[in-house]
Amino acid sequence: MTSAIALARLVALIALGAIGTKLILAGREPVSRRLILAGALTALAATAVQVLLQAALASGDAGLTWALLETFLARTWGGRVALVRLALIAAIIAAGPRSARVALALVVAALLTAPIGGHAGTAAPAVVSFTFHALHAAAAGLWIGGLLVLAVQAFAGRDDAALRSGLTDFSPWALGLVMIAIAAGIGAAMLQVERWAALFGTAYGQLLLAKIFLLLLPALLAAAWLRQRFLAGNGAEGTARRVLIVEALFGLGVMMLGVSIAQTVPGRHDAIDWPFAFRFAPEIVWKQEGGMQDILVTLTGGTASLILAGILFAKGGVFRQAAALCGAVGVALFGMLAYIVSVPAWPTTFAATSEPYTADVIMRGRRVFLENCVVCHGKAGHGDGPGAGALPIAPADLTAPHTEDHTAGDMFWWIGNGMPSGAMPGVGDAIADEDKWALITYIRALSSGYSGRDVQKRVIPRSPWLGAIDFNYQTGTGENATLNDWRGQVVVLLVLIRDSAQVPRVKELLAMAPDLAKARTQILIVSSESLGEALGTLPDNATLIETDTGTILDAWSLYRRTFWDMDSEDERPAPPYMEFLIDRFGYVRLRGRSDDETLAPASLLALQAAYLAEEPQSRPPPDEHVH
Amino acid sequence: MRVRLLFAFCVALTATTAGQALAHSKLKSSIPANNSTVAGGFKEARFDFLEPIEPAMSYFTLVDANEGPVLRAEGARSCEAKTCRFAVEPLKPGKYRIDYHILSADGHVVEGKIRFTVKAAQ
Repeated sequence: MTSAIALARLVALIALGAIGTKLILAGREPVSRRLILAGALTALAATAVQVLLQAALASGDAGLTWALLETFLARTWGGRVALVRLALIAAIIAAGPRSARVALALVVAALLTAPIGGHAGTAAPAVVSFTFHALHAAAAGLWIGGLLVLAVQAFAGRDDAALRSGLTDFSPWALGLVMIAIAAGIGAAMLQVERWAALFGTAYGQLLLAKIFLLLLPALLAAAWLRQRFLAGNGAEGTARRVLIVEALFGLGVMMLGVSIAQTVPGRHDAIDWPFAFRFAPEIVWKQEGGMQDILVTLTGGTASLILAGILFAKGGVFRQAAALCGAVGVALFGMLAYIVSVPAWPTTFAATSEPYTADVIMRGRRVFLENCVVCHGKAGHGDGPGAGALPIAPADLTAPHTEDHTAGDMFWWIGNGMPSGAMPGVGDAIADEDKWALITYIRALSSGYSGRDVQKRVIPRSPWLGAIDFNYQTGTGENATLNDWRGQVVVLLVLIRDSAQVPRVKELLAMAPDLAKARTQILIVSSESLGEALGTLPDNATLIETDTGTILDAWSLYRRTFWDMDSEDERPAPPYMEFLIDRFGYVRLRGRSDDETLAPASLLALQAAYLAEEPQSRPPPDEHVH
Repeated sequence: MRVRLLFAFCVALTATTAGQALAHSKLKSSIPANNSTVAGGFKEARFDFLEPIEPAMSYFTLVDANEGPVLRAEGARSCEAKTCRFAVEPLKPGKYRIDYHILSADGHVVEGKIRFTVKAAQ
């Protein structure tokens, strides 16, 4: 059904584009009413079919009914935009034949609305996205519509004079339209693809590459045609005719890819299936032994060679050969640089996790870890399990910062397929994909816990990096809420208590609740015991979460490690009391632990919360883009 | 002839590529989570999506282990922006599945299912 939608979209765009260019070029010969009517009716029918198919698809198992069609048109964004477009096209039929100017304005307006109901609506920033998508569709529609009209004329073999004057009139417009379409298209593509990896590794990106390739062909053809026209004199009409037809067909191909792209999940949302065995990662190679020197030497050498080649070339004469040699050396050095900064990659290297960074997932990942990984990697993940000694290659220390050099997708591949060095066998399908991701999420939380030792009882301004572990809980009224619900609104003071002996500290904090409320800070108290009576009535900005499973407390315990008490063998019981300040963007900024460090005075904590409530955002929220 | 071939190729290309549109789900997280076990006191289901959705054309169906329908929640009453939540009457212990059908704001239909188990309340 999506293919039919794409085809309907294509027909509507071309029909509108064709009357649009006819009207633009109306100076010499007035556009016949019949042509406007025929084009507008075709566009109307195609758009109506497109809307019906979209509504049917959106209706799901219920099937399309009148009531659902009405709902679709009246209450969804895509439906409302489609109604506007239908109205604009209907207006062309009503008013178009009387005034060419009104008709043209309506055609352009209808073309501009074409992409608004689709992908354009969800890419941010919205105004920029709408502008890019709308201009791209309108310019492309007019260009290809016009091209096809001329191609049909050429194909039908109408008299040469008319064709030539049509071409002469259309050419400057075509150039402008193509420029607009390409520029706006690049902008829209950047918004929808976001990452280079998505350009090569998603259906959307690959369609885009195919489209760019097809677009380059007409450009080459146009160049060939110009050569013919200017070099071969007037005898080249036949060639020009053929070139025009072929170019129009390529244009049609480009547009078909375009409407297919409009129906494909944008690259930024799709799973990336990386097609190459390598990827460029200078930031990783830079940190490796000798990596920095290698990069600097090849980069400097390559750049110097190319500059020298340029200078020599400019001198001309006998220097040209030397310039060619220098240029070749420069290109070779850049090739070498590309080789140096590439690291191995696998199909899943850029795959995004299916599992969010939550307490539930982390604890599920921990169970997978304990069942499958301990023999080699050890209970605490240091690569020192009972079986590690017998292995020719030492198992990785999963708590070390180098885990950051590998993408989650790399780890996913290794868990399933083994390490290429043979250091680790793959589990294949013995662990389900979502459990592999959960395992990776656990390893990330474990590793972050070690790096997180430098988050202490003072907030370091503007340096967020440790992502808070999300969890869900039930509010007093039984609704499901999550820690992340507070994101973007307030600072959260998260209190984790396992021992009722720590109740006085909680009361001390609750006494500061009015100050914390002024600092837009919400207090969440997670307890393994029932504390309701001990704490009495809670202020408005405090919630008590009495969890029976302990998942939240256990997951957050991964963030317990301090420089004084690393507990690297995971031997000691979890701390009886911890408190964290989480900034408005989801980063842990302060940590206090009752048994290891003196806790900050409650008043100082409130001051720091007040600072965080005002601190501007310095990086995007963690895990904003989980798939 | 060649022109016709090219045209056929283009149509085939459009048809095959456009058909992939529904391949991926955009569910970010759910309560209950997929493959999770929840206590009998579970009262409300919640789904968070990556992008805003169209409530009017979205719905959820909850079925038991025998595919017997338990409830159908309409998005119009359950969803706002990126989040949908709907009340669930107390469920008997057993296995359940929630199928979701979402029209995302960019016009794509997203369908998927999550499975969960309800254990006896303690």
